[in-house]
Amino acid sequence: MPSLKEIRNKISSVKSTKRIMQAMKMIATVKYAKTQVMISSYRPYYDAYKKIISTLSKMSTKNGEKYLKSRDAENDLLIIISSDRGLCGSYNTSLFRKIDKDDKTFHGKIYIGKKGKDYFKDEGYLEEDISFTEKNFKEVAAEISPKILEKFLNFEVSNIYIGYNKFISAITQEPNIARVLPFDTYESDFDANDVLIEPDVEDFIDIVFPQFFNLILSSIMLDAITSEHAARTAAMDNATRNADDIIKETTKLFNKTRQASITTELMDIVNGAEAVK
Amino acid sequence: MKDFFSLKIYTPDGILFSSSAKMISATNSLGEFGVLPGHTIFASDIVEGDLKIVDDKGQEVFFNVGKGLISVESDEVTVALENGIKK
Repeated sequence: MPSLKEIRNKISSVKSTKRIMQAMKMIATVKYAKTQVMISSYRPYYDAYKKIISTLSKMSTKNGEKYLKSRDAENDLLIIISSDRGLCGSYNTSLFRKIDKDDKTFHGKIYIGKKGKDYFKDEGYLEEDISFTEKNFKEVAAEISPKILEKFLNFEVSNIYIGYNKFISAITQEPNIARVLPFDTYESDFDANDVLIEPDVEDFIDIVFPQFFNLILSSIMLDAITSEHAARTAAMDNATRNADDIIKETTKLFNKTRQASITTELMDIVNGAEAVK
Repeated sequence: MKDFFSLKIYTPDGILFSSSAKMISATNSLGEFGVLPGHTIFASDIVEGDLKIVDDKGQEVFFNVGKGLISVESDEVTVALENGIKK
């Protein structure tokens, strides 16, 4: 049986760990609330772009074909969005498991977030390490999206996929592998030929399609970081509750041990008194 | 013909303007352009610069905007902008 001092040390170390986890939970909760608001304002903006892209994707254009024509799965690229830090439950592992199980073979990977690179251990397709937070995701997306798009447009890679945790709700985040290039052809409400486009349609596509790719990337990054904060909030909440259980159990053990030692001491005193008689 | 069209301006940070308006003008890669009620179905890019709205009360509202795009469908005008600040 551990000594009273050992038990007391254990209780105090669990208590201090609990305090850290509570603090982390509070930070993650605040960040999660913030990113959730960001998602709700980002979505209408994204939809407004998507509506135009849908119309343009219905037109047969030379420049549009580069972004829309399906390609054989020869040299596919996977962008993996994972977290930089741990302590977020199964956020990273469930995504990596999904990627491992996937039938598609990827010839190159781009890592956004450190954990992906640590897990897959191969070199990333882009040389630099890419990290982002909810504060700078737009800038990071704007920096890397032209580099990725260039590799796609000059046929260095065929299809581009993104593996990330899709945000569903505070308790559900779904690991997802989505194709981002070539673009999907979306449904459009009106006939593309009725639309007056300025500048001419080919130039317009050259301006708007790269912007849309950047937008897809940044909105997925925002989705992923929201999932990360939600996962961390849940994980830290669980950990705090587990710590409470451990503290409760250990305190019980502490009291039991203390009582046992008091009983032993009393027995000794009684026995000693009996012996003196 | 209606005197107004419904105008919504979206940015990643939220809705910048959502009301009916009489006129909107901005700059695209060819130059300045304006949209009035009854405009044909139209799509264009918007480059960084100024954007002007004449709201339903006839007041002029000015914005400093980043790049984006505009789409016009009969009496519905949608603008999506990278960023925008009211002047």
